[in-house]
Amino acid sequence: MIEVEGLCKRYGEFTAVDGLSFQVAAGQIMGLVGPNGAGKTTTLRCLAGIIPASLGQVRIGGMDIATDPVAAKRQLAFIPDEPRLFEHLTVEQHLNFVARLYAVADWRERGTALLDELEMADKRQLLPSELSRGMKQKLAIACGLLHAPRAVILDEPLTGLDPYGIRRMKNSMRRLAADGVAIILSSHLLDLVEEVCTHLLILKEGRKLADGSVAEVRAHYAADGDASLEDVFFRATGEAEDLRA
Amino acid sequence: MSVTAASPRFATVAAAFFYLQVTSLYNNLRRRLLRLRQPKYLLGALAGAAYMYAFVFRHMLGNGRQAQVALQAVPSALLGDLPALAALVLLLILWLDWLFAGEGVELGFSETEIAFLFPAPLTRKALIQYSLLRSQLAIFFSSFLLGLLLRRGAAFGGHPLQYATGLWLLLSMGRLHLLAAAFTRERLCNAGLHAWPRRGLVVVLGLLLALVCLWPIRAQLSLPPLASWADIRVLHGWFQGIVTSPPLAWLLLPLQWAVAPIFAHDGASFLRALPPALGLLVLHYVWAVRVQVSFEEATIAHARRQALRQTARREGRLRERAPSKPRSAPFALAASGFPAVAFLWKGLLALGPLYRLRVWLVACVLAFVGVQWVAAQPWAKPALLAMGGGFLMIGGWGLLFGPMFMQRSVQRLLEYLDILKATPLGGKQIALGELLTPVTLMTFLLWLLLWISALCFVMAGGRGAFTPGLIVAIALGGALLVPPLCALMLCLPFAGTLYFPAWVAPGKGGSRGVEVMGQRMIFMAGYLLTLVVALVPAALLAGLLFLLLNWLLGPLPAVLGAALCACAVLGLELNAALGMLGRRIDAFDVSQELR
Repeated sequence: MIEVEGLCKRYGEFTAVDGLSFQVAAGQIMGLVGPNGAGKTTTLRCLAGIIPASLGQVRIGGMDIATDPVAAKRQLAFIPDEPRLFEHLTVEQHLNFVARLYAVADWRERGTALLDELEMADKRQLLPSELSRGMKQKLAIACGLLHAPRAVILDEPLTGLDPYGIRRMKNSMRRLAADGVAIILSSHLLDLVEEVCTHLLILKEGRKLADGSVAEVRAHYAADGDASLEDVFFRATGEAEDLRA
Repeated sequence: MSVTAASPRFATVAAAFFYLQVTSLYNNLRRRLLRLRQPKYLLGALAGAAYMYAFVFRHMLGNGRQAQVALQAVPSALLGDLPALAALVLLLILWLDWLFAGEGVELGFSETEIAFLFPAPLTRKALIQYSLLRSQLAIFFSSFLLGLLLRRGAAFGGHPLQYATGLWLLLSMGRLHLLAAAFTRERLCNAGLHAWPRRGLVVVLGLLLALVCLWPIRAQLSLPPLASWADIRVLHGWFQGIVTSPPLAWLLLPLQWAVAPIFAHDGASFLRALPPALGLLVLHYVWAVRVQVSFEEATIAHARRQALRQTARREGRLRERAPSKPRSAPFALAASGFPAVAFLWKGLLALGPLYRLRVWLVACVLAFVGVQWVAAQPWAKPALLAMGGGFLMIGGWGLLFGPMFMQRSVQRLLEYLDILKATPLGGKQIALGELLTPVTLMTFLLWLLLWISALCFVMAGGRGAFTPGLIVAIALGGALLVPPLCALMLCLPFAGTLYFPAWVAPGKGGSRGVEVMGQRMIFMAGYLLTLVVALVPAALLAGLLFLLLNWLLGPLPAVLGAALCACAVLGLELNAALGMLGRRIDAFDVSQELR
């Protein structure tokens, strides 16, 4: 569903992402992890078509995001870490606006179901200034999922959510994957990645360090197979010794 | 789930745009009307509306008819030259744009629009169309609403609606041209022609063009004799001789088409001017959407900068916070001592390296050198007197309105008062600490102005009873009064913040509108009234002492004595004010007051 081949992103002389290739099949949840400055957000923005790649190809559902962005983006949802909402649009009007952009005819029914699922049914007439940080994040998620995307990119989706919201979000991700949606989840919360993701991609300095199922990556970096994802991460990024010191 | 065939056509993006604008406008108006149920907003709205009527609308509506009559008196010969003159100005603007514009194309999207629109199934062309529609809001408002309200364009004899339409056409064309030119430059850059070589080329092309256009008419370029300027027809003939000579006339022709609807003097000429202008607009649109290049990254960076600027403005700063880079401390802060000094240290550190004693001293020395230079000129005396008066006036305005500009810094106390209340400091210490930075800033600025003013008057040799000695005494007395006066004046908005936090609570949004303007006016009136009341005791006592000392010892000791007396009274008042503010801070319940 999501195919990336030789993705490069350069800013002048600086290379943020360097020759990145991977695939996320329908029903898979890929955890994208890496230290700060690894190129995670740049990668996600290139995948979502927000910024153009310097080199390489990104295909969403077989559609090239550079040559056929409309068809590719129609199947995609990008949910950023920081919810950015229109100051003067209510919760429901945000969904209406998104429905216009994605041409979702039955947005009212879908919106109601999503708001119910995210426990925001009673907030539909509120403006963003009246919502908490977690509620804003939930609204951003609802906007992203309104058009029933086949590929979802989540950048730190749990920021600001309460324990109920976190549990619901995890269940939503599992349900979406079960429905055949390909998900990329970028997070620093390794426990979350370990719990939810089926696959793992570790980035450092714009380059891929590891890519595969969680079990494969674990087996590659921890021979005993018993190590936590945190141990795997530190071994992969080569910072275990530094931390012990 | 049913997803209809999402169309990347203009209709989709236009529908989304209008939905967003109309809904936002409705919600914004509704929220503002609903909050008028609160007395603080209702009072503010009444005061603001009264002000707007008394000073803007009544004046504007009254003047509209008079202006039309007055402006029609412009000589017709000059009116005929205006299109060519405007075309020349446009030509210069276009050339300067190509010369000075940098690399990268920024479209005016907000961060929220980027978050929603960039990942949406819209083509790049659709995003450009959205951006153009967005820019139309400001252009439409400026050309039609303000144009018709102010009856702009009456000078050219045409109907204001003609002028408004012409201005809308020109501004829209300008927006499209700047965008298309930016796209073209980016394409050239991608092809290897970067900014500096391009600028060199633009200079060479500009010079070549000027040579080709002006060489055939070089004999006509010299201005007519100054004495003949009284006859407007001479200037008109000279100007027409230049702009109607080919090839300059050919070069200016499309630009004159662009401005012609604005200068149309009747309906028929307006209708004749319309097709070429509309044709140019369409051509520009086609150019902009055909030549499109990647604008996403520059637009995201631009939106980020805009958001930072907006945050800075909301926080009362003129510009966004600079990238975090360690700044040198203004002075060494000892671990023990008067706690309020730590507030000053922190405040000066945040202000940056310009706000240091050495910079102030350098400014004083430069002012001294500058005044000495002026004093050495033959026209020194009137210039020095004018400069002295000017700087004194600026100082006076600074003293009166400086606290109004700086009040935001004390109002921001509410944002972190809970943290300060957790420290082992009394309310009075917190109040003093919060006041120290703005007071220091204002004091040194006013001292500098006073220094320049006194220097000017002294170097001019004084005037009448104001001998140089008396001027120095007055300046010293004034310098003595500045710190307590500034502190007292800043106490007023500070007290307003602490006693009426709901009126000034930061970070709540909605800091615009007639009602907010009215609230500020009510605050201003209260501020001036309280200031007068606070100054009366000091002025009375100092005045009496001045009379007594002047009778006993003469004017110099009288001025200094009166200043000392006023300073002492203001100091006592300040101490009382700080005590009151401190008690309020001690009793302030953050959880209740800011709900």
